[in-house]
Amino acid sequence: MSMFGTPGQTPTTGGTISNGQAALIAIGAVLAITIFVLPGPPVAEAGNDGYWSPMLATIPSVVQIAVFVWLGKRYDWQSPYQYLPKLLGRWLGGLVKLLYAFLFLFIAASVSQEIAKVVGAISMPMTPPQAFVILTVLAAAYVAWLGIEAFGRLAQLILPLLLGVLLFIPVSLIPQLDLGYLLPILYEGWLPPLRGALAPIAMRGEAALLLAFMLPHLRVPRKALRTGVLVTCVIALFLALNAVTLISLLSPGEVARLSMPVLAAARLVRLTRGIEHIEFLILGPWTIALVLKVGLFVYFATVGVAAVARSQWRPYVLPTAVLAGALGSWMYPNSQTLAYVIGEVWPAYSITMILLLPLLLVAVSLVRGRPAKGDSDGSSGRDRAPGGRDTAKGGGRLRRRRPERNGQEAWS
Amino acid sequence: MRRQSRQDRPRSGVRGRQSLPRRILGIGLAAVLALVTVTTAGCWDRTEIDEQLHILSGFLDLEPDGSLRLTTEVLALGIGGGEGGKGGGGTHAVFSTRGRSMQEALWNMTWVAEAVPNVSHMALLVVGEDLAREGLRDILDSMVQNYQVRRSLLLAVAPGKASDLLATGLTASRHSEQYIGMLRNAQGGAGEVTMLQLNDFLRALSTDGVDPLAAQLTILPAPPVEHVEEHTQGSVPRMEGGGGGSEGGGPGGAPPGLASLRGAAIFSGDRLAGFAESHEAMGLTWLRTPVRNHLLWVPTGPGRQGFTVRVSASAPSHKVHEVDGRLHIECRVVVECDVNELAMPAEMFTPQDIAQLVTLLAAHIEGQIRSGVAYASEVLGADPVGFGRHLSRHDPQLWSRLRDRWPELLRDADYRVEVEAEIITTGMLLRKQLPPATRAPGTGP
Repeated sequence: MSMFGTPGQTPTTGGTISNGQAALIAIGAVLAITIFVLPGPPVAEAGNDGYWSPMLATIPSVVQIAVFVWLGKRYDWQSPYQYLPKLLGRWLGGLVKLLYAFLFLFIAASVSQEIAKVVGAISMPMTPPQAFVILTVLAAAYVAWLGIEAFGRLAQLILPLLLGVLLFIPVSLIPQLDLGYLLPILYEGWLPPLRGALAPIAMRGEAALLLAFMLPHLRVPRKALRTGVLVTCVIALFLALNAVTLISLLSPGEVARLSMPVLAAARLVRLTRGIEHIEFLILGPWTIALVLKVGLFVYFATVGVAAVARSQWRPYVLPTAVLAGALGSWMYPNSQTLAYVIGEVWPAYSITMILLLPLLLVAVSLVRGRPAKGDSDGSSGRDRAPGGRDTAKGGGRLRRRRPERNGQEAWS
Repeated sequence: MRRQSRQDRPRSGVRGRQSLPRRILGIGLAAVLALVTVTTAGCWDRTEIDEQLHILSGFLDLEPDGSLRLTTEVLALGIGGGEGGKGGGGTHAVFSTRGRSMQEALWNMTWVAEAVPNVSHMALLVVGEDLAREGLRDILDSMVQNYQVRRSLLLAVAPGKASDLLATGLTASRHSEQYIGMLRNAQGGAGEVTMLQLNDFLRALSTDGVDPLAAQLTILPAPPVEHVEEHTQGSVPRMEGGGGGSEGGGPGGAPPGLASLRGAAIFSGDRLAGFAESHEAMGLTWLRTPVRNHLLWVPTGPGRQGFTVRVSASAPSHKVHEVDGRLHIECRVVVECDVNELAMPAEMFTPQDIAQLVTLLAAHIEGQIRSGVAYASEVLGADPVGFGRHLSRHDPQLWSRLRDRWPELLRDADYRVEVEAEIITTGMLLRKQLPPATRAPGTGP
């Protein structure tokens, strides 16, 4: 047996996840970072109206998801890695595949540094950040090696805890909130919140990206748009609640100048005498959510590289994860650079790759017309996810798995 | 229905017999976790807990040469006490260091105490008057820049030197915890000025139209007896025993004074503008925040004539508007309370008596409010209530026109104060006990 995958004998393979699991994965992946990073840039732009920005970002997020779902549906619920060569040709499609693989790698590299920053800040300031990066990368590589089903189960286990903690913080801080800080509402109009929405749009684009690449794994892909809308609404709700809490608790001026305002807020929670310093409660589920995120993006980066190389994907997992850790350490020598990239560079990069490029792909697809049946190799993306049931058309009927090349998904 | 074949079943990583590499990996992980758990128990970030300097409270003063003096009370966990330390052998110790900055002073403590300072459990920061008058913005920024510092720590200003408070027994042994606990209770409004957290101060500092305010932690004269009765909240009688960090005894062998929470330190921006006495400070508190569980003595005549109410709830509100180019400020406070004691010639708690008490109570509170506002705006030139903040929230156009002249405009403003008091209960008594000769005929025993 090959350690890298023989169908039916590997611990897990590409596999299938339910739409609910996909929603939890996307919510967890987005919230794990945005809840810590996001309140700052929108509040810096819009002041006390900063809580509108995450809500306004919902509309572009839905557009992003709709574009990817439309493309996926047009190509039999295939992954972008599968339909890009058919849409753009072998070489150009391969180049765009590489661009997406690098995008996943870039996000994984950035997120791996966040763990070092936050855990180091809260509890281990004297521990070298590389220690956290190495541990994160190893754990993420292991989860990625297990495949998409492991992410689904991990999200099911962790996300309720994380969401519970994210709700618990605002509720426990209610006595300290001064909602007057939200006034005056939209005194300077919609422009400042719209400017502030740039960062939320960029970060929430990750949800659309993930859903696009998870399409072949979804149990009911035709409901992907509904799942995506649910995801983006839940994220908007949590981000807006977080922004309202932080503005009312710390004041807009303080939120804008803090690197981790949610951490400052968690440190203000005091239930009774003796029940305080509960920020460590956040660390558990949050760290695992970050590992999930790093692992997920390493997984899709790996699959992208494998798709270009036309080979098995598992041998690339560990090198890709290590590359992500090394790239992050190289790109972000200090926390200021990380904050600068997230606040200034990432919005443009994200909107180009997750909104403009997909729109361009839609235009190309419309120009080229509907793909012939043969374009999808006679099989749908659903069939390429091993071990999955096709309920999209078959109404839950079990279908025999197609033979796969080299025991892996044929991604190219 | 066709039975699902073995091959068709979705496979999961947790089912079936595990492969040898996975089993080895699992056993290895378990061994590593067990090893880490055993070897790092009681360890915090590569440092044993008892080798750390857990700072409970800090007292910050400005030295004559411009440097900062940081005096801290620390948990004495295995600390022998360095040159700067005092009172080894107890549960607490006091260390004092200097530095050109807050962080340098903190770092220098490493050499004095022979341990690494940990400020994540610091609950109280007291700033001396000189330093507060120079401005706190940089000091507080350096505090919150430190990952360990919590914004929930209580902030107070001491007239004179903050470190003098240590001679009062404030932080002696177990009383430190009790004292900080009492200060925390004062957050609920039991004091003349609500004890504020660092976050409250920074929040006010970063907001337009409001000046920060902090509690005043001062030293009262030494008590003639151990448990002294003082007309203030929060004084802590010094008790013998405990062997903590206090030196015991004031100058010349006199007993040390009492640390007491009274009055308020009013800031203009980040600089201390002055101290308000209890009467004025309470007036500002009525307008700033809802008051709960506050005992209020209302004098009605000379000496001990008056009555005491326990305020169960209050709701402040104010409106700021401009009429004919002059600022009009309407302040309104609704107060609910219970009568606790009556030391005045009122025989019974009849509706007329209660109405009289309500009138007296409202007039007393109104007097406090007028005094507080007048002192802050006219004498200190500050706006600790946040009238400007109210204007910026509810009439931004007017605020943008007036903000350059704020808070000077408050001096000439027309204030209208309305206090709506309500007495809910009078306790277990329906009438006072009076001497038999003074009883009116037919009023019963």
